[in-house]
Amino acid sequence: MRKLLSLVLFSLFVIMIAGCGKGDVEIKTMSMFGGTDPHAETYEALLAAFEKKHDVTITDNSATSDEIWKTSVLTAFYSGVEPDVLFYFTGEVAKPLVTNDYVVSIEEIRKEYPDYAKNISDSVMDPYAVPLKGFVEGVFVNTELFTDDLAPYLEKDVWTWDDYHEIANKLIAKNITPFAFGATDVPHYWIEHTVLGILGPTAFTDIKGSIENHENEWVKALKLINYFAEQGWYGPTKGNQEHSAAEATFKDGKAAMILDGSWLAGSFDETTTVKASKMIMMPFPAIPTSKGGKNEIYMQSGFTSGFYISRKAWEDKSKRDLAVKLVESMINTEAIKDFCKSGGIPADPKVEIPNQNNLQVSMNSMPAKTVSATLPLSDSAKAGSFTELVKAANYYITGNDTGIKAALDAFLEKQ
Amino acid sequence: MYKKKWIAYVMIIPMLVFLSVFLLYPFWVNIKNSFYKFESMLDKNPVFIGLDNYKTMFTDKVFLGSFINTLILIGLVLIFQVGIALILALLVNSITKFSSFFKVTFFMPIVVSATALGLMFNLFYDYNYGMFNQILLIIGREKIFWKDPQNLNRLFTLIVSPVIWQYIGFYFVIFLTGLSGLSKEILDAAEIDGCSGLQKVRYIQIPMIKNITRIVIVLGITGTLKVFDLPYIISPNGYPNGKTHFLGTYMYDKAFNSVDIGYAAGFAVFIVIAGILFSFISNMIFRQDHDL
Repeated sequence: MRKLLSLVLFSLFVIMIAGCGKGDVEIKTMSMFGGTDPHAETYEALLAAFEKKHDVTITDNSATSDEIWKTSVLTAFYSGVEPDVLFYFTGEVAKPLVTNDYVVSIEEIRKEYPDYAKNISDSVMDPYAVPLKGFVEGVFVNTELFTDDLAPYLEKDVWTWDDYHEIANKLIAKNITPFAFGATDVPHYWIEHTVLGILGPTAFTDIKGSIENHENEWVKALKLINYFAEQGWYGPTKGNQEHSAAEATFKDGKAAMILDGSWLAGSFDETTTVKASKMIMMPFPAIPTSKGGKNEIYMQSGFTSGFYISRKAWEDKSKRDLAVKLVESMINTEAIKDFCKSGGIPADPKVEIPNQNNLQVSMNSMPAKTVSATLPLSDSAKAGSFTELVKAANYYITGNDTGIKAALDAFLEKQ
Repeated sequence: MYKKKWIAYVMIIPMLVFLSVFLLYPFWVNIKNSFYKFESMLDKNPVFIGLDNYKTMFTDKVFLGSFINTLILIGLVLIFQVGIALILALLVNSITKFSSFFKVTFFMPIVVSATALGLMFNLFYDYNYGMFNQILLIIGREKIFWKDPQNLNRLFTLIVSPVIWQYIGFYFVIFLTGLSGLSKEILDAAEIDGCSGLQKVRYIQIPMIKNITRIVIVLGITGTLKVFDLPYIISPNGYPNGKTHFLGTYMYDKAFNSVDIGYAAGFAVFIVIAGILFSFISNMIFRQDHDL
């Protein structure tokens, strides 16, 4: 018995020693590919492959992206426990990382590694982050609910303002909710699309000037949500529900459409109740009273996230090369191809995705159907400001002018 | 060991260090932050604005609303949470059979995470798939939009009900511990003197657990002042338009959504001061004149 125990302890000791020998260098990573994110599987497989190939230990701290996660990333940098490689948002959210010199610019990296991320299109490259793929926003349509008198609408490339009204009315007559909408926590898409539709893309590039000079138009845009709610587009709840509850109605085939981003496509395949092959994406319609231009259909899209290398890892000679190689292992053509299986526009123009389903083909055709592509308002507005518009969602549903103006003032104050 | 008091002091030190590092120092930083305006979470050069954050607080309608909501919840907690817990403890204390079963059952909600409970209650209230509406459909009634923001009173009730329900078991256990420690001789003597069951409760048991009641009330008040998880899950962003915010949820909203760190720090200071003040008042009211 004693011999057996000694053997077990010795084996454990050997395993421990062997474990200690593996990967003397530790690379810390953070990303938004945690939890149920559709990219988690690809990301984790790539990390494991890198760990094996380079004999390093990777400590990954990925989570689903939300406000807490965004803040925890910033706090990690602030407290000096930042990751070496980070997949994070670009733009205003990442401004503290850039202004505090916590991350290294692509230009600086390329001085040492001239071929770094050369496969990525220059047009989509951020000065600090290497993007994987871009997104488009639009109306996801469950075509299986478009039967009888609704079927002809599926033959059209785009739907006009009047088409949407006719479709909504016909769906309501069939006791189907036209749009799944959860304003309680995610009114973002409807806020952004109504404002973009009424004011045009300049409202997003010059937010301050636009609100100061055209406040009434902004109010008018946000009150469209009230108009849609009263028309019955959002069903009996009028949109007063959580996004998860709204999404469930679409996924269950109880609502015919949902306004969302291309990341939602990852939730559908041929085994889900609503099948990806039976879905299409349509642009949000041109609004007849638009200030931007008559009958112009605008789209929200962009490349708003990417891989960063922290200054700390860059300055550490034992980590610099590994950090660069780790990012390259994530953004090479093959890796991006894998990441794009769940939808999205590849940042590498050489990526060709075979066997794309109906929904993915439809999403790829979105740019051709629209006159301009704009970054969403939540990405172009100053950090912490868009929430002022989000919090006032019920004022849009009820059409409360005073409440809407107060929200706009609070939003404007932070620009 | 008890004679050598220094041993006790030495053993207390690790906890003191822990509290200093993870509670007292952060709280000191928090007090300092409440006098500054931060441009971002990582703003290294915040601007000193004196008492402005505190002045803004008392003109902020959402803050005042969240404070009133918290006060109402404190009232409801004291009446229903503490009240029901006391009644249940008195009842379970008076029986011998199945008492362990009741103890476990009543305590069960405490061990479930508040987030899970929030999600569960959201499922109960859901318009399309919710349990409440499924029951209504089974009995041939129309579905109800339970979380209709136009009906604020009902929405508020739906938010606070699980909050109150969850911690009944916690106070029940505290009360029961107090009741089971009472001297059996006193109760027997009262019974011999002709004291009825209700009279025993009114004149002997409740007065004798006055200290316990005081602790429960202080815990109830301080716990309610920082309530967060359940309301945040059931009504995100204090929906509609911040009307269902509580101090804890509004503080979170200001800190992490609006990234208004200084203002949120002021909230935290306010919550702590309010907690101390309310606890002091309840201690005054329930002060033990003499031990029975």
